[in-house]
Amino acid sequence: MPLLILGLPLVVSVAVFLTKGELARLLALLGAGLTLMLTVTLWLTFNSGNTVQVLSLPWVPSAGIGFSLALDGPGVLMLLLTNLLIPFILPVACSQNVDKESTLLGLILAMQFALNGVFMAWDGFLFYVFWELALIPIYFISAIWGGENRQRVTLKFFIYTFLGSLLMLLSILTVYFFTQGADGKHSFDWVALMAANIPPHLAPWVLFGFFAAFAVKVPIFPFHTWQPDTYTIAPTAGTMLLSGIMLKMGLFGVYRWMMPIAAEGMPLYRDLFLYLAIIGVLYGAVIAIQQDDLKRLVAYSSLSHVGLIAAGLFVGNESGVQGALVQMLNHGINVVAMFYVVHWIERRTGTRSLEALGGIAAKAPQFAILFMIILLGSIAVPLTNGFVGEFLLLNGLFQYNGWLAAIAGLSIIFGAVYMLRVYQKVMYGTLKATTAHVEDAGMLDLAILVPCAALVIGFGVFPQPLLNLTADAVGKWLALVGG
Amino acid sequence: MKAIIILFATAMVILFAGISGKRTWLLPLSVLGLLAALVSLLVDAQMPVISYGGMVRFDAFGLAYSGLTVVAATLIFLLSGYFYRGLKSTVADHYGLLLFSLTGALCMFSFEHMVMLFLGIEILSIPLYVMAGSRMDDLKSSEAALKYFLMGAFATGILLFGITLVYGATGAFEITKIQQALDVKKVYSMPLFNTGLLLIMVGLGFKVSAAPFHFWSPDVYEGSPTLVTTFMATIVKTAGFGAFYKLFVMGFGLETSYWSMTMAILAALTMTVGNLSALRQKNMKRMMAYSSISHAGYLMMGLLSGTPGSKGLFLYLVAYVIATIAVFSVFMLVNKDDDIAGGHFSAFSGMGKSNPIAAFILALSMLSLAGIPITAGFFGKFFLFTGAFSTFPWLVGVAVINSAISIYYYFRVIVEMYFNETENPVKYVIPNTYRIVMLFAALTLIGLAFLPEQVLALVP
Repeated sequence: MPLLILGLPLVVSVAVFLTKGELARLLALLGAGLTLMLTVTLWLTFNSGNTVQVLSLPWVPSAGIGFSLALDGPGVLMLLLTNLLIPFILPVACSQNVDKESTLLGLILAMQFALNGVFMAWDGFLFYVFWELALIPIYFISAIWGGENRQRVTLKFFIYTFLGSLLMLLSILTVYFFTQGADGKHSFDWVALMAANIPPHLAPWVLFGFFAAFAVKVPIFPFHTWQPDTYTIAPTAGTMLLSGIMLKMGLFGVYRWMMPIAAEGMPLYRDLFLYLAIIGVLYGAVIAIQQDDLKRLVAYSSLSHVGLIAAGLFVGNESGVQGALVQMLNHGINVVAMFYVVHWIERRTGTRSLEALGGIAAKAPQFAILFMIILLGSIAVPLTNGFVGEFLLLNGLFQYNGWLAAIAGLSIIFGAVYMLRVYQKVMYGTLKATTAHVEDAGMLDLAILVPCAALVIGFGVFPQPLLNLTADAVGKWLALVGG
Repeated sequence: MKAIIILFATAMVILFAGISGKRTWLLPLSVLGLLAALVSLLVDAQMPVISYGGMVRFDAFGLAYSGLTVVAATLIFLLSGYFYRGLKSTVADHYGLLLFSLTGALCMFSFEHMVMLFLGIEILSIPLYVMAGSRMDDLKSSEAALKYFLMGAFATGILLFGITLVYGATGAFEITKIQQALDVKKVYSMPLFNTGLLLIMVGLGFKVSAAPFHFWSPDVYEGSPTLVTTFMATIVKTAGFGAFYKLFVMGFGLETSYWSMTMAILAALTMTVGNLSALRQKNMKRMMAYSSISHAGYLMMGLLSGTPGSKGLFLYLVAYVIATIAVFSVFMLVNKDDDIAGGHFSAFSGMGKSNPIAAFILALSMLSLAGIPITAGFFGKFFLFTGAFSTFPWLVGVAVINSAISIYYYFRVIVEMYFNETENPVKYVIPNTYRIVMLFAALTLIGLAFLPEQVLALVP
């Protein structure tokens, strides 16, 4: 079944590239729906304690490169994240009335394939290949269908992330030269990379190489400069892909590759990484408060949220890591829903400026309720999904250092400030010229926002299935990393 | 080994067929000769064959490199029919000269005696001096020919001087005897030997356009007819690196770390200079010239790590040669009259819409040249970097940064094709021969990802 989850989007993607119009839409949605069903089935039947080898084929045997895939609890969680969000992203892409729509849908599905690959890869080389493959569709999505200045912004994004990735490749290579595979040769297999003894003088370099790639992708302050621009110019579907799923690649990379493999270097630099992450939390929140452009505001708020997730991972204790994993999924749901709200507002009113908006609640009561639920999830109110993750994250931080937790906790207050400010400015107040003729949410809007709101509440009230999925794997991980 | 003779014979036949005026026969005949040479390579024994009184040694290495250049030449010949369609005078001498040049390349892969290397280089170069100036009414073409000839002659002189000094130090011209001399006489501490090495490095560095000996190449690439540029960028470069590897890694060996440090510095300089200059180009042909300089820098990394490097070197050459031919095949379609002004990036605007197939091939080649997974170029780069990583980690660091920079100019072409519109899009007619070349290139650039092992196994 995992192989089907990996392969199906690729097949559908090719089919969608070759077709046009309604047929392409139908194919894309069917493919994504089927993949989601498969993923949910996998989730429900998955025995979370095990690491299941999915596939292991030789690729370049003489160099110790294998096409090997494996899944553990967090891996399944990431598949769930990807394949749950893609069915929401595809209709958004359809609703934008772009030309060459089937190409856009095909690229999104190609991206889904690469993302699933990243989360399944069990070989350092294969991981790198999938990691880069995911970059190409999103580059084209942003650069073809993006807004103003798209060529400059997307090229900066591409070169920036590519350089980070290459540094990660150097790290993987360094570790590779200290591995001993089954046949005595070097090997890129995860287990072999794990077991490699890196000399102490190289350990920090290995760590920094990984950190460069992941910090750019997540992004962690001060490697975030590409992010607000790229999020803003990308078409909404692209922004959702970037913020909902793609940045989780970086976080997942920290969990699966950086911390276990470069564990030797962690104790020295843990504090440095933590401080950077926490600075990002505050920085994103403070800038978000001052934004007028809605999309930019959500971009900065996302920067703040993922900073906290990264901090939880770097702390590396049970509560922090559990919280980070669960929050990866929940943040994905919330941020995709938030960007949909922004997209909805922009489409109905033609503007994203807070100053130009107002009074939508009176015109669109259904939308107002759904927006409210999503917003509450985003600011982590109890009984929403955001609360579960952020609570565990802060708890983990607190166990490590009370002051850090206190500072990071400010972000929740800041979050409430900027989000409620948005709600107040957009939904209440007097009607403006832009909002005078707004209609309430249509069928498509409900079809996207209602499930999102349901997930916000559902995972808020019943977080246990998610926690169960990762609990055993996190236990093993802690033993490996020695946190 | 028979391949050299077959190619030479084909060239002679082409020249005579040209006199008798059978123009339509020339291209099929040349391709037939090339294919015959390829077949003879395939049936040749894998074992080293030493012939011509110890002048030539043909082994698996020579076989693989000869195979690559013959395939590349076949592709270039397939492109030539359409390219020379407007040529009034006979094309027989063009074809003949290219085939002679290819013969020289094969000599450079199979020499044992350094005189044979020198002969190979001359056979490779002299026809190209003529070909570079083959557009006689064009001042730029004449300039290219003159520049290429003067620089080339100068480089050959230096190379010859180097060979003499090495002979003086070791008392031998043959690679195997030089190796013995290295072991027995410990000549690698002798200034005479090291000066000789350095001079040979300079001479060959000219041929592969390594910095700081690269100044001729942008002008020559730009001024020469595009078909000849393609030949120079692919076959001459491959020949240069084949000879480099044979002489330095197989002959002088890595234990003389004296040259490997020099080479590493040259490599870092070459890739950086090539990249930084390519950033500012507005003309596709000049951009490709500078990009080929930076690729020479990456390729030099393959000379620094012995056998693991040789595998990366070959894989990289395959990826580079095929991608370059694909790029120039699209370029020849777009810049139909082959004039210098026509090579501006803006000529490619909107091609993604008007010519999706050609645009896709060009984009794929650019991705491969930039080393983006999962194209052939990525695998080449990966194995090159892996090879050099244990001996020269800092060089790999420089190469990584350069790879990231190179994205900028390779993607400019993609940006022009897909994200920029043009007011009057032209739909190019793609001749069937071009379709074959493009299909072959696409299959190779993607397919190599699935069988890198088989290609790696070709070289020892």
